[in-house]
Amino acid sequence: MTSNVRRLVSVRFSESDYSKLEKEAAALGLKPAVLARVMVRAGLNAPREATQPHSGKQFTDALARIDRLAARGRAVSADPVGLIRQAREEREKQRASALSPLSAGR
Amino acid sequence: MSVVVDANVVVALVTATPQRDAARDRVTRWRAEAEDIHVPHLFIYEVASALCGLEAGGSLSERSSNEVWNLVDALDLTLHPPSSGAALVAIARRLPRRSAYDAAYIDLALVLNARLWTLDGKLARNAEAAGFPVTLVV
Repeated sequence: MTSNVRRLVSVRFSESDYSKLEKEAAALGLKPAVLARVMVRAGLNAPREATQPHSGKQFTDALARIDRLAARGRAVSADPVGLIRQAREEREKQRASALSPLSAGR
Repeated sequence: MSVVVDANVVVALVTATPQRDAARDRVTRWRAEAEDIHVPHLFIYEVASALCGLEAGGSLSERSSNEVWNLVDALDLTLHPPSSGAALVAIARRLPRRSAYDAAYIDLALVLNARLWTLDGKLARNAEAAGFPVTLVV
C-alpha cells in the first residue's frame, strides 16, 4: 500500500532559476511549487542513464585527455591570465588607435 | 546555483602553471556539484584568441587545442549577451582598468546574482574593492 503521508521539503533556488520556474509555471497555469514537484518526480522516475547526462562522461574523458597531454609535457608554458589580458588589451588598443585620429582632428 | 567563469580559467587547463591545478580542481568541483556555468558571449572569442595565438606560436598542438573545445562543450556553458551597453560602461567606470571586457563578466554575475570566478588577481582585488562579486580561483 502507498502511504498518503506527504513530506515537506524546503528548497532554495537562485534568482535566475526561480525566475525560470515562475515563468514556466505561469505559462502552464501552475504554482511554482507544483511545477517544481512535477519536475522532481519526473527526474526521480527517469531512467538511471538519463540522470547521468552524456556531457558528464564527455567532461571526464576530455579532462582526462588534457591531463594526459599535460603529463606528456604538451602543456604550454604561458600565463593564462596574461593571455586573456593580452586579448582584451589588444582590443582596447585598437579602440584607442581608432579614436586618436578623431581626437587629433578636434 | 550559478557561477560565471573567466576565460583564463579554461585556458589555464592547457598550461604548465601553478594555476592549472587550481583551475582543474575548481572546474571539476563545479561539474560534480552540477553548478550552472555561465559566460558572456565574448568568452568564446577570448579562449579562441588565446588558443590561436598559442597555436600560431607553435607552443600548442592542434590536438590540445581541440581537447579544450571538447571540454568547453562538456561544461554545458550558457552564453549570454550583455544586459546593456550602458551597464558595461557603468561597471567599467568603477574599475581601475576601465575594461568593458572585464565589465562584461561582472555584468553577467550581477544579472545572475552569482559570483565571477577568475585567475586574474588584479581583477579580483579591484572588483571586490569596488563591491562586485568576484572570487579569485586559488
